[in-house]
Amino acid sequence: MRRKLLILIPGLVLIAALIAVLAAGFGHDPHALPSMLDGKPAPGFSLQSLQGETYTLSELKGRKVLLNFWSTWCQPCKIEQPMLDYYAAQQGPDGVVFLGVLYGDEPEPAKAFLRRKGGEAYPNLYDPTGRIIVDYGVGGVPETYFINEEGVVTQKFAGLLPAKDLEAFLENTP
Amino acid sequence: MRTLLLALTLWAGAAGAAPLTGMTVEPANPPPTDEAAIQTRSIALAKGLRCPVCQGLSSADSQAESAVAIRVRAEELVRAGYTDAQITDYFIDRYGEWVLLAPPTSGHHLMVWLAPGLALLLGGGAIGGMAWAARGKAAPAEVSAATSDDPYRKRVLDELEG
Amino acid sequence: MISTLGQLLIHAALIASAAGIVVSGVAAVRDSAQAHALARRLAYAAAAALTLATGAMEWALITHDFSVSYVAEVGSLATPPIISVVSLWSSLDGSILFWALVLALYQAAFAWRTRDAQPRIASWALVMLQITLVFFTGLVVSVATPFAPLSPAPLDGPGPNALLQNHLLMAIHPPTLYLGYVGMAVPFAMAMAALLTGRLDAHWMRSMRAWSLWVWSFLTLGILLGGWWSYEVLGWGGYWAWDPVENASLLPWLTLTAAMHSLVVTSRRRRFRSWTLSLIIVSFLLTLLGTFMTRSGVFNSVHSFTQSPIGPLFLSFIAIVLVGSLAVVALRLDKVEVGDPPSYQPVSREVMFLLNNLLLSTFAFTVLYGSVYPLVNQAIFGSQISVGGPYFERFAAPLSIGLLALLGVGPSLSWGRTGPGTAARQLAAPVALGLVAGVGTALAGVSGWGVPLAAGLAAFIVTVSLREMAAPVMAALRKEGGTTAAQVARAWLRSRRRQGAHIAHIGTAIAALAITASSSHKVEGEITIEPQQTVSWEGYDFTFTGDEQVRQSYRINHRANLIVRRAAAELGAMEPSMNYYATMSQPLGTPAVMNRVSEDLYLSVVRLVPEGSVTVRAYRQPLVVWLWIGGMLMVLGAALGAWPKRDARP
Repeated sequence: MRRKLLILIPGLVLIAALIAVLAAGFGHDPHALPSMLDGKPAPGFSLQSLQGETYTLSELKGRKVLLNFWSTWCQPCKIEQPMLDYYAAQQGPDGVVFLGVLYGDEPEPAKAFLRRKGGEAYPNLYDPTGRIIVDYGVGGVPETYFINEEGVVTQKFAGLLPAKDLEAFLENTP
Repeated sequence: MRTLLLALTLWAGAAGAAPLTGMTVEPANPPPTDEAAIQTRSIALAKGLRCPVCQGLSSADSQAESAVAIRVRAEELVRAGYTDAQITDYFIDRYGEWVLLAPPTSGHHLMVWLAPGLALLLGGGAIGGMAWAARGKAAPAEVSAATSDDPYRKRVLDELEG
Repeated sequence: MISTLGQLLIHAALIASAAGIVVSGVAAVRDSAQAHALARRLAYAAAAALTLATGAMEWALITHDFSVSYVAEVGSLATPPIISVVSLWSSLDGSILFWALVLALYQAAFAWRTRDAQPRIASWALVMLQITLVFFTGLVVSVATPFAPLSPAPLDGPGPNALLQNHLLMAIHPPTLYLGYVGMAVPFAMAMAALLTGRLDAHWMRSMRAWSLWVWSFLTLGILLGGWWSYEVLGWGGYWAWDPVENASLLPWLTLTAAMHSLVVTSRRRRFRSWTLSLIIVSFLLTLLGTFMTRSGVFNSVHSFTQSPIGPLFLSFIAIVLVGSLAVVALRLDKVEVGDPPSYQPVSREVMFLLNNLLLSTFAFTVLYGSVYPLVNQAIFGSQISVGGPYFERFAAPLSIGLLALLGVGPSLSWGRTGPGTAARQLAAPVALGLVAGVGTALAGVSGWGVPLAAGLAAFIVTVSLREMAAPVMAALRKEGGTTAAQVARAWLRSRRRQGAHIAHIGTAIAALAITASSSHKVEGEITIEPQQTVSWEGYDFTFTGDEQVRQSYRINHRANLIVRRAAAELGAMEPSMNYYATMSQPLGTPAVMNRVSEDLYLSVVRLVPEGSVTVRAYRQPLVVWLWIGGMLMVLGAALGAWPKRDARP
């Protein structure tokens, strides 16, 4: 009998632990990346837009910034862009700065894509070195970062940007 | 303050090269010059870093944009003279510990590194214990069907039956 | 129409298997031949119903009947028929239907093979199989509902996952793996029946061994084809990435390999009975866990489909089976142990088998723990981490070295006691040959210690196995005379399983060498070539003769035509390509692979500009073909041993 209990009890404990761990896994999306930048200063950059103007993050201090990584081959990006265009067009001179960043794409196809779409509602930046991708810890597209007036990242979104989060971010801005 | 000054000097020294944005520490070593060693180190580093959008592939193996960016960045940092530990920390700051394809061999992650050895020891101990318990007993009677003087032939014939 | 028919059939299968549990239960408790006969018929009925149901689903897929929800999910008018057929297992609901079908077929085959067995033990096994089948058909009826009717029916569907459309291996890899995975249920049921009845006679054991060998062959073939598929399709030049799902298939393979070796000792020496049975039971549990890992969406994997209510249900089933089999093992294991407590001689074949089991179990534990550790860490510390290739390789390498060494040492020792002199005599020549091969490889300029070590071990194992295969022939010739040919034939007939085992060992040695060489001596680079230009890389000359766009019904195939030469000799054409699927915004590459005896050349398109330049990622990897050859030898060896003998019906 002792031998039986010696197998049963540790066995049951192990089974309970395994099942508990697996069950706990249901609450998490294994594909979601951890966000490391929340509450930290946004990594600086100085990049040219597709129109040839230079945008430097440090010069935008005092204004909120929305950074949206996208590419022409990304389906969800195309879904969320009309929303971004709509809100970007509503921003006043001191409103939130919308900036698109190309990910895994070349300026030429991006320009062609934007022309077909009817022009750019906000500037799109291109980083030939791909460095900004690593600096922000971008995994795939679309990814969106909210940066506040002090240049601190307040939130990161991987995948489609929920409209209510965008509206909350845009609130209280002139 | 000293650190900041040093960093500034190093940046100034690397005039012409683009500043390494996002780095908060200065390289611990002077920039290496051996091209082969740079390549080997960069690839080894990328092999240990996860491709953010892949399934279990390292950044060295994937053509995904973010994997390529990580690969390029790792090489840049190697060239600038950063140590492997500094570079790894840099990527952890950006992507989290998750970016390491194997957890660090420290802290509570020792759980996962020591477990296989522990299992081997436990199992080996059990086998050793059984052999120890059986040490006094006589060797089991051979149940061989064959009779032969040559032990090897005997064994082979014995096995043929089984 | 098909929806209704399919629903009807799967309900019939569910009723047949549920009734089967009751009837087999009665047969088992009462040892009733009559009830056993009825239970068998119910097993055939379930198999027939599921076969027809799967047939109906295939019909719906081929005729693009979008009123069937699964067809609307994975079908598309643009999909060619062959891909429509295999899309049965391209998504969750269909793959569970397929699971149930394979299980029902196994169950029917088992019922047929054991029609003359003692009703008590055979019926207990049927109870186990039918419980499993009730669970899977229950899923198909309730939550994974491929036959659910859609009204109004859509006009077209999105088509199956493009990754699965990309290679014909997708038509054979999943079914093979399923045959291995699902088939584990049979040895499991037999082991449980042996424990429940407390009877494990030689006949039952032989039969269990034969089923295990079959399952092992399919599992090995399935894993091999999976590796081959990822090599031919994914385009990163590798065949194994320690993806959670690859690990899931490796886990039962490791424990089943251990069980098969332990079975040898159990049937020859009547030892380790409860251990052997436990290993078989664990192997089945690991296939369930593996299916969970594959399908639940809890693990980050190329295979996991979306999260669905199936996950929690599956987990509950795993929990029930885990607790149930633990209880049976704990409460009944002393019933099957017979004879004196074992004694061991330190230098004997028994101990080598024990060590083999120790290393394989440790290996399996490491893979399991490493795979679930991210979940453990998440649950306890709330942070996300990865456990991938570098971790598993750290442990897989030394464990494999140990296992390979045993592969040579084990067969050289005798059962019971082996004197040091005998052992030394048996090992001297193979070890010497191994040393020559290892040192020779190192002297020939192969860098690192991995490949020389693997070459040495491979030579050692091959020598031992060849000797062991020849020995019975030589011994019989000396004892009985006759012609060599007659004795060779006789030895093969008399000890097919033993000969098969040695073929599998040789295959393992070859595969191990191939894995070591191809992973440690991989050379990769990126080449850009302008049209009609030639670029040299690593001793190969690549001429880019132009690009070509082929419009197929479901995709556009944009390929680069390259001619490869080495030392002025033309080796052939390579056509790596990019595929554009209507349903995917991102192009998917198809690499070109040139298999050569000494090394593979592997090209994967990075960028292909229409009528412009091409950029490819090129890989040189030594001995890759030998992995497939070695793997096939393993499968062949096991199948040889599994093939039923004419005289013995298990």
